[in-house]
Amino acid sequence: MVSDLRTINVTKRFGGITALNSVNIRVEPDSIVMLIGPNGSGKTTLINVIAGYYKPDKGHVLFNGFDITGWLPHEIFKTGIVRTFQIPRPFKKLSVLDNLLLAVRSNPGESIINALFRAEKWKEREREALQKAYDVLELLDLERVKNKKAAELSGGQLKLLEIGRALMAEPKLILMDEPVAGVNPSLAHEIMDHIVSLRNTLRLSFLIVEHRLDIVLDYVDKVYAMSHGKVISVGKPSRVISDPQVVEAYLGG
Amino acid sequence: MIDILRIIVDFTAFYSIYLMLSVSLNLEYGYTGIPNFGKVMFFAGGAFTVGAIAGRMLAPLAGIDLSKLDYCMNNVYVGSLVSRYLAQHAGLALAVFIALVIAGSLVGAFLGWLASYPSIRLREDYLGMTLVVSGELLRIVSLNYDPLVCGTFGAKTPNPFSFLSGFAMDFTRSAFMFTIAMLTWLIVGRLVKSPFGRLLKAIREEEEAAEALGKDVVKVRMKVLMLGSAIAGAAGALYAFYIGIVHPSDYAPLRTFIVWVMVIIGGAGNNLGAAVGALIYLFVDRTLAIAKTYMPVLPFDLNYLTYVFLGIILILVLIFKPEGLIPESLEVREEIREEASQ
Repeated sequence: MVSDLRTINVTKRFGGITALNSVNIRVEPDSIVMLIGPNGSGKTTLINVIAGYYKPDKGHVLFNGFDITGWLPHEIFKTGIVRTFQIPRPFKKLSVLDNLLLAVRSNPGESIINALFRAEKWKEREREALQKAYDVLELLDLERVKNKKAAELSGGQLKLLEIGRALMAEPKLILMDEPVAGVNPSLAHEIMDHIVSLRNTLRLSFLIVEHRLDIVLDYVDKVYAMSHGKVISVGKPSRVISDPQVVEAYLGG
Repeated sequence: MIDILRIIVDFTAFYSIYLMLSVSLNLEYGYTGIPNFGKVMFFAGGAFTVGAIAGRMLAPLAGIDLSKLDYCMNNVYVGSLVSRYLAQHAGLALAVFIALVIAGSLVGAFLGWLASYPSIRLREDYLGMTLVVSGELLRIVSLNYDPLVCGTFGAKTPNPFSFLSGFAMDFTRSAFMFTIAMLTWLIVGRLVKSPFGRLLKAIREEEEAAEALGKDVVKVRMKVLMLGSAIAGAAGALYAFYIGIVHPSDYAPLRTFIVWVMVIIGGAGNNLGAAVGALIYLFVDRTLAIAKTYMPVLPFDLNYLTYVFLGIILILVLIFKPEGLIPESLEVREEIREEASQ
């Protein structure tokens, strides 16, 4: 699965505030890229622009050579980009299992005609999806709660459910907004291990926004540091975190 | 004895109509979260279809030349001649009945599409307001535009069951209506248990997350509003045939809110709940209507007590069972899981 994401001079303003100022980033095929920066530096805005929730005022988003600037979120999903939310957004009254099953790509049972008259068509798909969902549940240690309402999960479990839904969607690139914030360290390491193995086996790419540098930094290939809507540093993790500009942005604001 | 049977048959007819309305609102609001405060518009759409077409279409067959006669001034007369003609042609009468119910639902669906087109992108509250207004719009236009359902005169609808008479006619008519309503209930029940139903609930719960998972939320909402409105349109057509006249002022916003009360009492997001809610409303309404005939003359109309009783029931339900008498259930997908493990 090839995935190559670039943003070219992406600018996004909200009233007088420039949330993104000519941002250029690239997530190469088979790579795990991390986005760091103090609060309000524009990381989530960038995710929202890439995923189609905001239209940029200027610039382009390219994915595998397609210009996907200004596409709607569900159209961007079709290209293979899946996002997770910083504050989990579960379907609260659905079971954990249903939350996962919903994420399945192009389910024939989601058309009225098929749902009513062609049960054999979607039941087959549902069975495959179920097998996959069990794997995801096992991986994220959510098996015990699979038949609970999503509303009953703990904060950490909701984080995992967000990731689980993204994995169900056969993505090429996952945009993760703080995937391990609020997750206990050992599970956080497991998640990151798993992200690496997904990259290696399924060749998925990841763009991860995260503040937990201590946990995530060891797993990533490249880091972008942002401050005030601009990319201030890029490169290998060790280089970026010792960059004086980055240190100043984090410590000096 | 025949009295009780008559009451049951009449009850069944009204129940069929309200069951369809409450099922359709439950599909829109209970499952998908669309605040359809314009239900009456789609109901009226179906009823007006019958009112506008049935008499005019069948008059030539009954030997009436509408070019020599003002239809609206004489529509009661024309209607009864047409009914008499239909009494001799049972097959045609039933075909007309079915065709017009289908036409009513198509008009409902069209109105649903029309109403959704500019407004479905709006936020919940604004969408609700837009729908209330559209409903009133249709009523006011039809009240003042005679070619539709003869404005303030109202249009008489011919009786497609006039080939029977007395109790046999009432029974057959109610049986037809109940069959259509049950079919609707079963179809919607099947739909909401499928992945489509899961998608609807997901959209209701977290619209943006559903979009992030590739769901075209606007399109799904439109489909639901069209389907719900088609059901309401069919219910309107049945109603028009049942009460025998279509009068615009019968389609006031109050009707919408009665259906809301049914859904909230019964249980939003539960298909059985919608059926129970409609049953409770109709039980109160019909009991009072019957009681009225046995009561001595009272200084007020007993029918108005319906609203008092419904209000009390609504408040009690909201206090003690806020999710309705039969709340939304958690889908466990046990069945498919068993199949999967085999």
